Amino acid sequence: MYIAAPARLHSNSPLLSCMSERIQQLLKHIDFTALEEVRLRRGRPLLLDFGTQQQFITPAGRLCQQEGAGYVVTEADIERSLVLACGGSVYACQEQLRHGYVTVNGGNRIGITGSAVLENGEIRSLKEISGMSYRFARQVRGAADQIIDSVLRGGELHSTLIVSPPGCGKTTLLRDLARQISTRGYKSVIIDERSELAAMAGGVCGYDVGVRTDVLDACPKAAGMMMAVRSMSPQAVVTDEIGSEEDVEAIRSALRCGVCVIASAHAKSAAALYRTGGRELCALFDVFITLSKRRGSGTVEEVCSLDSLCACDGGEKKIC
Amino acid sequence: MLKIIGIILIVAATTKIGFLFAARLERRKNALISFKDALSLLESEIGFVQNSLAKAFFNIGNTITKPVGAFFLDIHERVMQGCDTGQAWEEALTRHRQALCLTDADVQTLRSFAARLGKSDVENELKNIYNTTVSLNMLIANAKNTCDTNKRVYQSAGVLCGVLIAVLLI
Repeated sequence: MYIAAPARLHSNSPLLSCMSERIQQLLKHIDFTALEEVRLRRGRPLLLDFGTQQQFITPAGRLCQQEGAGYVVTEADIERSLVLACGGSVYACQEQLRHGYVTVNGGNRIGITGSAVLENGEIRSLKEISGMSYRFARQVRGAADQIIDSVLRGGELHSTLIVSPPGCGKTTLLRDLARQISTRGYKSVIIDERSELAAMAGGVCGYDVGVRTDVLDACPKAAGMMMAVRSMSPQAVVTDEIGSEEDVEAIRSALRCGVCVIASAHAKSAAALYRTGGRELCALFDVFITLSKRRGSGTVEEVCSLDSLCACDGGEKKIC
Repeated sequence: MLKIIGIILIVAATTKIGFLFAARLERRKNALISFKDALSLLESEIGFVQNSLAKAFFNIGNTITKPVGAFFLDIHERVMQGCDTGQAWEEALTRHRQALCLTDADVQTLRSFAARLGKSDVENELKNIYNTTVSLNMLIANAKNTCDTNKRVYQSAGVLCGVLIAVLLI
């Protein structure tokens, strides 16, 4: 686990200003230190996720365990929150909305659910928004302390894949890994498709990702990797949530050019990813780091190599 | 001697009033043309760059000359302070209406435009801009017509009123 020195969240977090005024009032006096998520679901009680426990909030603004006593999110709350989340410009977030999220200042991501509007079999937009999930992003300097020596061995960077189910701290770890690689003198480029890693705003990084790190913001991963390799001469490319065939091909091309790739992917574990159709992806990486929430977000369950992963097919843990 | 000075002052005053009324017609026409230019810029901001409305209004406010430029900068300020775009637009309309010499029909067109602004995808935002531009074109034609017809009338009426009053007083 790496919760060494989490940045303190304040009640004037940019994420709060993306909720309806009524909800902002309710949350004004909440302690945000451990708050990880706020969930708005139309017609259901407002839910706060503190990592180790979930609580509701009464209309008077007090935390409670009984869902019957919780403040019920209204249609007006959802509509107003969506407009605020999009900065009053829904069209400006159109591409993100198609993928079911909006990223706001600070690299905070708001997941959005509703009814999909299809065009030629593809999602064009969402309508009748039913829920919004606010994930509070934090920078944790030192998150990568435990694994940096596995990524940087013998003075050489190794392509690394961070694997975990959602919400276990992959993005936070990647961010600190990019920072630490930069500190050790390596040039890297972050392909920040969802604007979460570096939290760019007006061309300026919202998080410390290192002085030798460049950021391609809001750029599709596959295209971004190729752009970075061709134009920025990086020693490493850092990107979040890979998995598509396009991503695999782009990673393969980057590796062919001698650029190391540090990425994350959703899976229960590296072994599970390897067994369930991820062999082609796994074959591209040297080091695998599995995270969980067992002792809180960022718990490092396992660090293993590709060789031990192949030998691990039976599910035994190996540490390199 | 005093009578002559008085006559000159009266004629000057009424002429000034006549010219002021004529200038208001000119100002309205120019404001509507500036709004049309502003919408053209907004079309690029939304359609090409997909900037947020706050940023778009800032860019437009710094490009279009006063007083319409000031109108957009005013909205940008209010939105940056956390105000809803529609409400900021409404407040700006109220504050700047006099300076822009807008009629009720002009205000209604601009109000309808703002009611749909920022709530939809790029395609529909551009449709909203297009429809409003069509309405503005009609208002501009009307403003030009009114200006051409009545400008001279107001100016002449100002002078003649002054002369008439002067004659009556003599």
